Amino acid sequence: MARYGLYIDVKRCIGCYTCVVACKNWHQIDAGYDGGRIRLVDLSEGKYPDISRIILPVLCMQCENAPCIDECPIEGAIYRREDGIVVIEKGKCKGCKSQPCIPACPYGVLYYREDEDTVDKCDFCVERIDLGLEPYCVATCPTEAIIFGDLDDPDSEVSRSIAATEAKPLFTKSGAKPKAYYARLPISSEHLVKMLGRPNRP
Amino acid sequence: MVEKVVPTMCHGCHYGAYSCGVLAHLRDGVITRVEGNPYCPLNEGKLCAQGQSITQWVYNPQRLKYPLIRVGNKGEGKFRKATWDEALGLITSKIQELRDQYGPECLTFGKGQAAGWYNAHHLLHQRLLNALGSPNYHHWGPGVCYSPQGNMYVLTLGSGPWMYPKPDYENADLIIEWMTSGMNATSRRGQDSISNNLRTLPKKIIDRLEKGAKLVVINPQLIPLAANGRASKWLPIRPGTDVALALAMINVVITEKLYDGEFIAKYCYGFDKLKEHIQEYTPEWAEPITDIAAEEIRSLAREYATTKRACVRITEAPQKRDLSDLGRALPILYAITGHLDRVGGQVYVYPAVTPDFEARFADRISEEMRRMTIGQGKYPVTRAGGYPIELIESITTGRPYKIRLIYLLGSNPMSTSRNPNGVAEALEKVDFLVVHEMFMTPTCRFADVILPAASRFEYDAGPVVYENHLTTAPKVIEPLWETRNEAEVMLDLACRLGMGEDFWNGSYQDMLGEMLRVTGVGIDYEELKRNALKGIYLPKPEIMDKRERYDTILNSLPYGKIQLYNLTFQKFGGKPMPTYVGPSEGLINTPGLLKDYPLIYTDQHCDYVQHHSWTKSVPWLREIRKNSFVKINPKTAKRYDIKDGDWVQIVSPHGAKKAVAWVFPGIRPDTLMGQHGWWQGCNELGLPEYSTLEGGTNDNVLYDWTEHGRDPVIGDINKNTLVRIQKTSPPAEVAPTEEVV
Repeated sequence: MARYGLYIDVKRCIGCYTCVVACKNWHQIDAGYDGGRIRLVDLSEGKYPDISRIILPVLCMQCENAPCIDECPIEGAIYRREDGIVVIEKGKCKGCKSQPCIPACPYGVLYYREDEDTVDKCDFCVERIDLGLEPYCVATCPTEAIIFGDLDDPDSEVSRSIAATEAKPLFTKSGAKPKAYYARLPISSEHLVKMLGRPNRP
Repeated sequence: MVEKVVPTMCHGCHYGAYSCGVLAHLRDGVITRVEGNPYCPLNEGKLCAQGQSITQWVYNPQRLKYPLIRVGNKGEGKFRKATWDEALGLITSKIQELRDQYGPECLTFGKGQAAGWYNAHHLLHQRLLNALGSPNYHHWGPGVCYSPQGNMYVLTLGSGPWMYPKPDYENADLIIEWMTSGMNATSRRGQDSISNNLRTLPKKIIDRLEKGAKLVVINPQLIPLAANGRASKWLPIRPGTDVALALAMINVVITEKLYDGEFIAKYCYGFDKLKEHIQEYTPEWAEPITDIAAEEIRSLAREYATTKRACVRITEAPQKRDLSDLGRALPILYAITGHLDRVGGQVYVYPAVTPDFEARFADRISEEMRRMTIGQGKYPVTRAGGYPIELIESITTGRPYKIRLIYLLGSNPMSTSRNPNGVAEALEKVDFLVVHEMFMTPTCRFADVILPAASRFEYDAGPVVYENHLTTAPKVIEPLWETRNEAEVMLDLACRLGMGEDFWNGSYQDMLGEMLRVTGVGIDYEELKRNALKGIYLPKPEIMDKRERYDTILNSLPYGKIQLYNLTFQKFGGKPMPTYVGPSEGLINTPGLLKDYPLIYTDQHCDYVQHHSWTKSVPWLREIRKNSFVKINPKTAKRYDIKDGDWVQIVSPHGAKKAVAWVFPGIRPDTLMGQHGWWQGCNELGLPEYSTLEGGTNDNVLYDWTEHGRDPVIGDINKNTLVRIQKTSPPAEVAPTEEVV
């Protein structure tokens, strides 16, 4: 059984918002919610003209130790598939008042959808994966900045890319064991956290 | 439940006919979502944010749905529903009446970025006007910026099938992105024989960077392409001073003898004169003007000249009063460094075929009539269609004569033209205004007749070509509501005007057939449609992959040589070599203004999620960029007690506008960077419409549009000024138009 993850090459991300809109297009999710399944973090720092600008996509990392699963009060409303993808079972999620899953996530990838009255997040486009396709953001990124595949297959493109660039997940201090590996980030993860101004949430 | 996938092309970002390939998914006749067509060689299955939002474009409830005829006064915004027959009948009779009374020259047609394609729609619009006998075609899309600079390129370098050579990114070791957003010029523009768009351009650059190429970005702001450590250098040039940098670079290349002597000897005219002329334009001279250190200028010029495979992308959409200088200085730089039409440099594109009509009827306009074109003769170099400024003058002053009828396709001069208050006055005074549009624009409010346009996905497009790939973009759904394809409406009008014989008796299919026949490819349009998924690859003409094609490129030039010293300019009494003029109002040019107007203002063109004045009603795009913004450096913001998200008022010597502050560290502290094209509301997100007039959200009120602010050779209008800024309240919201029953 595969163990799916992502390789995200920051040096190839141009912050074009294709992934953000593509995801809503593919999954037919309206505009106007306080969040989305994928978002761009776009930060600049420094003293002019020595400015450094970082842009990168953030989406569900399908954590192996997912805090959202731990915090969810409803049995089976969020669960992990055998292939490692963490899925919200829309039939079971009640969009509960407290929504503890949302702040539990170190990456801030969950959000509430009024139309369904449930919490929502990226699930690597499971319907596409089950048809042997890639997640849609991966397929449509104009610069091919994201690679998807089986982390347990050393010959897969995702595994080889991670190895070649020593790509790392973001903010591993959270202990969530995320499976999205960011390559060629021009600053450290800790530095990125500082730029975000919050301890552990982009 | 019936599911279907239809291959077509995006309505996208550009004026060219060939766009990114799209697969439209339908369920029971409704487009549910889209994806890129993997077989389209331009985008290879990818689709940018704008393409991804196609369903929100096509099914946008803010769209015009049926013909409207004015009731009440012009500009009041009161209309009543009408049938197509009534609307077209009225337009026909008005065209005839006004033409008979005042002569055909009183008719003007204009086109912005219509729902339709540049190719068929543009050609047809011009042909119709030619058939009516009027020379007054006004092209306010690329005619404002792109074509004027292109004209300068042609007068300096000659031309390929298209006036601009493109940077050969795939083979470059040094890539200079100058005044671009890192996409195509400052828009996302798709294929228009420059063959660059969001899919191809950044990927090409990034692939080369991974192979060791270097990227230099020259821009007052740190654009996304330069982020993530991609740019080896960011030169934050002071806005409006690009000609100074270009001249200084030429100076270094010549004085340090870094030029390609062999190329110059063989293909250039006027080197000795240029050498003498350029002496004063040293990097030290350019430093205080551009705010780029002399050493940086030297270093860049040296690197560019000595890197064999080096290319420059400078925006194709500049708006400068020294455009005729910029449009010559860059080509001169390409030429003397030996980068013209060479691998890794600036190369011309030679498509295999070009679909067209057999006749455009330009010969039906006599020389005498052509001399009467509004704006003709005002400037030494003729432009493709005058600026709206000349049109405003014609209507409001009656000089040289009054334009009486305006027929617009997707053109919104109330937003896109300088002096929108003047545009309003003109539109109010013109006898008859017809606008064929997708949305109720501020221009539409002055119309006598508004026609609802079908979107790109609601009719068959014409044949289109990218290099040697021939295809078309078939209709995906029937036109929604009572919308109609602009081209079909033009054919209908032609028939009503008694000119059916010259317009395929109104048959759109026959028209498409002719465009395809002209290419010489022996298939009919239906077969082309059937092949829309993969298209047809034609044999490549031999010339396509050649380089150094100087025997064809240069042959329009005096002596068949690149004009380092421009004999055409000399002939009409212009400056034979570029000099530095700079902006109307600037830190260096007009220091006396600094007390009241201490900051530079300019505006960026399009960006990743919006295009010109027409995408702001798309919710997925609008939620990313909610407001008419002005980028302001944190230090500057602090000085004026402005926080991110505050509404601010920006006042220049010419006008005032409002915008929302976007505090951004990557913008020059002396510069405010706005964006053009903001007016439209987005109902779904509860965002209101704002005025394009003085005091609204329109950048165009701020700039000097008088002769003082215009290029004396081609009339281009500058897009730089000095302003002051302060916090303010939001602008007044514009009430929706009223439909009278």
